[in-house]
Amino acid sequence: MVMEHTLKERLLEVFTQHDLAAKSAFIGLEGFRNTAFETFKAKGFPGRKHEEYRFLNFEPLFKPAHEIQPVANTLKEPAYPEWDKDCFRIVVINGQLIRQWSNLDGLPSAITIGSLQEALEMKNVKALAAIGTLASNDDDPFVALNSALFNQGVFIHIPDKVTLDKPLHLYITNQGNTHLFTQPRILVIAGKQANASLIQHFATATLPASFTNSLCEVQADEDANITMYCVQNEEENQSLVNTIEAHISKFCNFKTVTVTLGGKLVRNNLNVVLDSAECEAHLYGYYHPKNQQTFDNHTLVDHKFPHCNSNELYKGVVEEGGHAVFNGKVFVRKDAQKTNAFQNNKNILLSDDATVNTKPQLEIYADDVKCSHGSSTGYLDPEQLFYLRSRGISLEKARALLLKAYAAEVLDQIELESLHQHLSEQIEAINHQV
Amino acid sequence: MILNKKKQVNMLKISNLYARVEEKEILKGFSLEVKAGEVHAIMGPNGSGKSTLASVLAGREDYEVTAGEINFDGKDLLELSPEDRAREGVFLAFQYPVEIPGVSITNFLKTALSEQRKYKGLPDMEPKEFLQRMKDKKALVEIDNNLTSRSVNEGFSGGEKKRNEIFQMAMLEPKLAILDETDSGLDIDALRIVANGVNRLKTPQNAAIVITHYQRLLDYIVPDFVHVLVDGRIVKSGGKELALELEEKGYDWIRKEVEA
Repeated sequence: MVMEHTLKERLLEVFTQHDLAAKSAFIGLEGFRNTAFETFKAKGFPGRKHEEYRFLNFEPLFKPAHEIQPVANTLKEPAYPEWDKDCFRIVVINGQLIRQWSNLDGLPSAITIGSLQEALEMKNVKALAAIGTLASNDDDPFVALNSALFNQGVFIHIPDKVTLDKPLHLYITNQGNTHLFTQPRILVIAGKQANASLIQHFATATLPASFTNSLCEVQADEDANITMYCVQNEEENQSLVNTIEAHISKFCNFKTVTVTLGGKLVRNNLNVVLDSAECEAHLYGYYHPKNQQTFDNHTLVDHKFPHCNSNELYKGVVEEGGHAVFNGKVFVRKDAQKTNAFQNNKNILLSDDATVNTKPQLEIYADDVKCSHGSSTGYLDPEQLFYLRSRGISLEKARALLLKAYAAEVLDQIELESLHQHLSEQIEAINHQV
Repeated sequence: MILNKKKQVNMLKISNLYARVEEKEILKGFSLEVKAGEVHAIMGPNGSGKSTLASVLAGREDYEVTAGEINFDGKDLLELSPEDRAREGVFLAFQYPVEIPGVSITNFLKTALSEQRKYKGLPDMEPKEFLQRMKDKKALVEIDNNLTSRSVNEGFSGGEKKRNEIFQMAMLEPKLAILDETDSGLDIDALRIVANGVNRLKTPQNAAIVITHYQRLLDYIVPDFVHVLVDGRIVKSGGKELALELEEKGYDWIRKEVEA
């Protein structure tokens, strides 16, 4: 593959030229970088034959040369959405934390939010202990690439018993005049009984096509309560691989809501490891790909210990020319007795020319568990449409009403009212264009 | 004298209607005239075309009209979309009301009323007026207060679903109500509530077509005319006593009479 050859060469060049491994030596990351890059070199970009990526084609995206570690000199402050006012904010551009545009006024002083690289340089014990132990290079070439190339990144530490009283808005974007290939990286450590909501917000616009390979690792200690919203509103030429790897401990409650409304190719790898007994994970997703867009959600829920619960609901609307992929793995390992694990994926096709590939994958090795999965793909119910129309409601309004109700089941999981309203309105506007 | 008498025009005139679904001819020359202030009962055995008639009037797309005309208040009803028929004043109370999770009855009716008013060039109802109307009509059909905050028909009992149909009818105030087997699946108490609702909504300006298999409903909603539908057309019409005769003798009697 020509593409892979040149991009790989280019990546190699960047890796050696910038001497990233050597630069990382003083913080003890030399080996980490090198190993990650060697892993990536061995694996290469996943092609169509890669089982986990078989519905995605990265080749055309990397035809133009991409700048890999962009040094942007003239950055512009982004415009934030309305709901930002209810949040703390940090801005990440091209993978780097931009302090001057962050808003952390009133942040509890015990909480650390800063550059991951700096945290490692300062020998932050928590950061050093966690880095490289959550997401595995071997599992995914994008993880390996991010580990090898990430620049600065973000480190968030919420100590024991501390509550982040407003959600943290992580505004993640790219800026520049060339095609960019960026590697944002976030490490979140939530201590015992810590409580926090994070909003990962991808909103790259007005660039030549760029590609973001984002990695967010979350370690939640005993009894922590963590909610992650993932808002994907990139422009139609922007592509994104977003990996979230969360390891949760005893009594933890971990919840994610992923809403994908923009981008060209968007791939979410959401991996949740229930790393102790008696914890729970809730995964929700909503997506609406249209013309030439591919939105792919791969989730993995790994039950390793007994008495844990997981619940997963992903819903999508696929418009003409759009392509949605859902792959939901649930592992219930031998020791994970008394597990409750539920999964459901629903899709509505708005056109004959809309594609969905959905695959639930339950692997159960314990014998005393309650697990179920369901998947349905179809059109809007003609009986419901007729019923609404028979009361004087136009076909367009009837469709919009049904689609709004359909999305609400996922959106209602968003507790931040202003974000909930913003996304509801955005989805309503999209549905009215249908 | 005759010149002074206001000529009462038909609200609905169905002439020689033929309709089919999936290649199967079901209505075969159906004709009916309904004037304002009248209640017509359409009775007939299973498979005679009763529900097809309701579906064709409401504009369900699976049904194909192959011949005949339907004139509603001077308009060609068959030319209108289902929503425009509703906006013109046609209301179908469904035999099997569909569940719509996630759409509350309040939101649904607010939207429906707003769309109907827009069609007539009227502004949206004031929220206060809307709530008052909801309150009044709920009392009329003896519907639970919290039912309207729930999703349309979701988890409703059979009786609740039928009452909800009549409640919608009360809210939308149609000119012509078509009740498609509204009595099916109702116990006697639910039947009485539904029938009372319909009776209280009756005015000299509106009309109703009550489609039913059994005479039972007609004890409560007393029709001006009873028509017997057999094999896709009306074979006998009469007053309310015809319903009693049918109850007594069954439909075979009519069939024999028709064949004779």
